Amino acid sequence: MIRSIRSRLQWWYGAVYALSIVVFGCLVYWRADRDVNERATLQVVSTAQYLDVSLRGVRPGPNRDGGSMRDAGPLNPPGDRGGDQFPSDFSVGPLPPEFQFRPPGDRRPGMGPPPGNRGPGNRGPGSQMGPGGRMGPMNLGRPPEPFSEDGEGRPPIDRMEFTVWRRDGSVLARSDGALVDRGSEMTKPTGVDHPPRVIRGNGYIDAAMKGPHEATILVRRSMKNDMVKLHRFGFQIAGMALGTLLIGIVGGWWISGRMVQPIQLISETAAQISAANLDRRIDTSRLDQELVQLASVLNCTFERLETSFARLTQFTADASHELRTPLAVIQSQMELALSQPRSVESYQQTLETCLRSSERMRSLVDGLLLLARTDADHTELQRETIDLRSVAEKAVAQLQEKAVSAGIYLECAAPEIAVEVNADIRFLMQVPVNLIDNGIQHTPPGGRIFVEVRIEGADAVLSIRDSGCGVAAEHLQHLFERFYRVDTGRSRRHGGSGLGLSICKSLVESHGGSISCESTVGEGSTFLVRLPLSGGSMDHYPKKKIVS
Amino acid sequence: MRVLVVEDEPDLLRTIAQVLREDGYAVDEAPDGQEGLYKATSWEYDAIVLDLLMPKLTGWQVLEQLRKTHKTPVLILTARDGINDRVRGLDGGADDYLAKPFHLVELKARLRALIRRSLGLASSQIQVGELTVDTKAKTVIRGETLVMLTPREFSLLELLALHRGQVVTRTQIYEKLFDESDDSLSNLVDVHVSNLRRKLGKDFITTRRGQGYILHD
Repeated sequence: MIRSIRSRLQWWYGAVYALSIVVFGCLVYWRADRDVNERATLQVVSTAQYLDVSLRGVRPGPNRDGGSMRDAGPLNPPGDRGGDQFPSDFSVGPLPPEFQFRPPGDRRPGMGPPPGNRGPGNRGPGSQMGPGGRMGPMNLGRPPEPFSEDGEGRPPIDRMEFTVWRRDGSVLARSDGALVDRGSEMTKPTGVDHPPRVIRGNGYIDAAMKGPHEATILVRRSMKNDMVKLHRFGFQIAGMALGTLLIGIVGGWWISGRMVQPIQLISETAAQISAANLDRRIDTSRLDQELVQLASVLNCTFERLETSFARLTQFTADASHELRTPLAVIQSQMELALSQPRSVESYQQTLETCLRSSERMRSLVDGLLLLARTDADHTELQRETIDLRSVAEKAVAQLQEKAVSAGIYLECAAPEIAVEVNADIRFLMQVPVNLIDNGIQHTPPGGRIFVEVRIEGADAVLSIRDSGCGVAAEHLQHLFERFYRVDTGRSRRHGGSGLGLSICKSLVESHGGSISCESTVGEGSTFLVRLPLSGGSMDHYPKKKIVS
Repeated sequence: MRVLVVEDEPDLLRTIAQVLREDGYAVDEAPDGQEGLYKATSWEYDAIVLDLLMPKLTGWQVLEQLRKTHKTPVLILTARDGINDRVRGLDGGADDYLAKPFHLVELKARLRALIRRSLGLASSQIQVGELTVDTKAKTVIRGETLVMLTPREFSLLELLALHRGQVVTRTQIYEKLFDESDDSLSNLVDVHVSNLRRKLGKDFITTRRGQGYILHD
């Protein structure tokens, strides 16, 4: 399955799917991270601004001795009336519940006002007074319980704290204790200006700004719990992504299995098709369009395979039939001769019969061998430039005697100029010999055979016309097939093997030519052999055709 | 016994005919299907040896035409030995099938078997009284002694033995004993009968005047 389509499909699909899930998850996480940070920034900045506004709203008042900021001690040392004057009892309006502010000694929860029921502008001395009277300018209580560590294990919300420094660096006001982080002791920042500057630190976020009277305001918010929540969210996303990926991969495997199933069906059918049942075909009715095409191509191949297999079987049957008959003659003759003592004449007759039969077998085997050789490859041809006229004349001379004894007039006509073709004389000679011999066999006594060599365009043409019985149209197309016989027994009496014309066709085609036959029943037949004239490029000869 | 050989290969036809004649059969020859069919329907043969691929009419066509009127046993002798050809031949009405090349002894044995079956005999020996006619060994044993007969005499005795208890006409005998190429006169039958009587004894063959001969059990 390493190189299977299904697993490759699965790998690619899985990879793309996983990548998209990872990208999507990262996007969501990044977005959530940004939201958290933006919210926290907004919180610290707005709180810093609020503190700034609060400090601006404080009118310098009489210095009340003994009154002091709870955390910071006296704003101004007694006697020091100059510089920034902050009343000792100034107060800041309601702050967000994130401020963990608690008057000393007061442990009651819920001291502060519910968030939101007073606007930041609704402030003033006494408005936020806790039970401790003027004690707390930042009279804020604990945040309501639901926001603290709850029963469901959610982390508590992050706290804020602030510090306001006077110009000389002493602390004017400070929220209750360094609750954000013990490690992050708040130090007065330098170089701050009016618009709050946001500083991100390790696990917290600061907003620093210049307040009235050159005071410095620093608001710090812890990011610890937010980060815990964010990480928890991240894990949830990762878990969901993993689950989705698993579902997707399993589903994908199932789907790809279904997709591959028809292919398996095709290959199973194809595997079942063997020499014994070549008539089987792949059922295309249940296949998808893309596979129908493949299946049709395969079916087409099977069709051709079946045809050529049938042809091969037929050829083998015919060849064995042709070989068995003379063999049967030899065997039965021998058996008969040996069954009892016979006369010398009888033995002579037996031997003559056997010789005839073996001659027939030899010519048949020669023919088969020749066919096999021309089928196999054409490299065996030793081509040279030869004159087709001399080939035709030699063939006519060779068969003249046979024609005369059959009472047939055989003549040859050729042009004055040489008709040169590039051919192997040993093989090409067979073509006119076979065709003339065929003509003699099928022409009644008194008939004539006319052999002609001529040039037509770029072709050398050898035409052999007889005035024989002709061939019916239905036989014409099969005429060059091996062992095809117009009359099943006729040529045997003439000693023909049934291979002559197919040998001619094979030989002519191996020389890059073509052979055809025109015939009218009762009038005679004309065989036309076309060969390319030599002098032209040898390269344009067609390559070997698929043996039919 | 008279058989017809239909074969388009002249050498083979001649050989088969010769070997069957030497075995005592009267053999007619036909070089193609048409002539074969004509002869097969014109005469009563004990068996026909038929080739399949022949000019004019193929063996299958001959068989098809012949089977419309005749039950003559047919042995197909052909170079086509494919299983489909065998099945087609046997289903087409042939009684046996032999592929070329073949052994003459097998051809002869199959012919004997065909004829035996068509006459309803179980074995190749026919018992008539104290005579044992062995159609396979072509011998006749009378009691304990072997009687020497010429092939033609044997064929005559075999014919009478096969139809023992029935009158066999001179024409029947003539047709079964002499083939088409034999121009012997029909009174040659009488010569053979008298030769048989001389060798086997007078009582075996009875003459029914004007009818023919009969061999009694």
